[in-house]
Amino acid sequence: MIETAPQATFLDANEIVINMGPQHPATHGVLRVILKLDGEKVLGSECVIGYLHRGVEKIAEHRTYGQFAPYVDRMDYVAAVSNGLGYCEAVEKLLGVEAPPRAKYVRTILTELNRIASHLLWLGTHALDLGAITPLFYCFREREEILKIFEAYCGARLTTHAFRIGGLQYELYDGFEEQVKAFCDFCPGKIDEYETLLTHNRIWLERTKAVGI
Amino acid sequence: MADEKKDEQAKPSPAAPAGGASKEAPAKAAHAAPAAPAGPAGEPWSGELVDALRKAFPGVSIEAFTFRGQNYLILPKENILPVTKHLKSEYNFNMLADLTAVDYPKREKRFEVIYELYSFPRNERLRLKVPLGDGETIESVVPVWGAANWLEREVFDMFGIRFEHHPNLRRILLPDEWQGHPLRKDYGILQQDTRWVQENLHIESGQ
Repeated sequence: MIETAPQATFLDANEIVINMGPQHPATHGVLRVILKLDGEKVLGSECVIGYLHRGVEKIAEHRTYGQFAPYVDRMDYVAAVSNGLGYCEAVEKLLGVEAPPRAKYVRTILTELNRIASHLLWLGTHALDLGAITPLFYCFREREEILKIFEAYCGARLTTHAFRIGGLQYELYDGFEEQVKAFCDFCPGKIDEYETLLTHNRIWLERTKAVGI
Repeated sequence: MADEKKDEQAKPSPAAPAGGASKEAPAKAAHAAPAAPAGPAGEPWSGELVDALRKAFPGVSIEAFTFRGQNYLILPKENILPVTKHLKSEYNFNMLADLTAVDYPKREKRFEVIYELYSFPRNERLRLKVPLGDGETIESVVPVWGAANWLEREVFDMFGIRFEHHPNLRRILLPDEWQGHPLRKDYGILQQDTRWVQENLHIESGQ
């Protein structure tokens, strides 16, 4: 009597457990997610993190406040200016010193530009993950203008280390004001372009509305 | 080639921390540097919230301080769960912004577990500090704020402080089998779990 080989039982099972990551094209960074799935429905998940743990707190123990400042740029490398501002202001508060008014204005301008650049990167890659490639090019086009300003100011595009404890790294360069003003003039119009691409886009809406809430 | 590299890397790593320290020590002594400035010291803080808390928890030593406009309380570890529950329900501290720890090796109780609370309705921040001796455990605040789950795991991972009744107290950043807790001050900057590195990464040393 010939026994039939047992069928692969996992095909019948409703629930399967799979590993996503740590390397996966849809995660911008390294993260492992253990997923419990029923078809495409996620029944449960467990995150395994630590792949980007660099021990910056331990490094900080062995550095002076001034020496540690460039490290904070690398914590969130798309918001280096903002990180630097938070760090410098914390140290200034601890020391009881205050940056001069001019430095405060420049800090605000650069940090706000960084905020826009960071949000543009988010919007572009978020849309990219949902299947829309075009917004990424549009967002990066505007982000590039901001990075050019950073590069002209301090020589770096991402890890800027733009500020120093108590003030700024450099005096502003000639033409900074015009360049920032020009950016402020053209950027709002570009947001309308993102709107035409996404706001009423059916795929965008279906993949974001009431998802993950 | 590979062996040469191994030797090079293996030698300096154990000696490096000790060597660095001994070089610095005599230089400092020779200069007879002025006494190190005293660390930041908080001033006593009193307010409605402190009075009300002391009333609600009679017999509990609640010390209140303020430093650079930031208010903090020092509590004994036995009271952390009731006090945080009270702060959340009665004073709307509905967000645990951060939970961390500091190692002060010279203190009698070497660790301080720190809770950074924020209240959206009051737009107010409050910091709680709980001194903790080596080997002592503290009650988990996961029942109060879900955010404490990963943060307490991180403190356990980095400092080896155990949280009682935590739903899943495992290492979060380092591998489960790792030996040692890196953010303790007696853990050297070049120190690592050499055995884990060799067995899992198949290299002599990560340095």
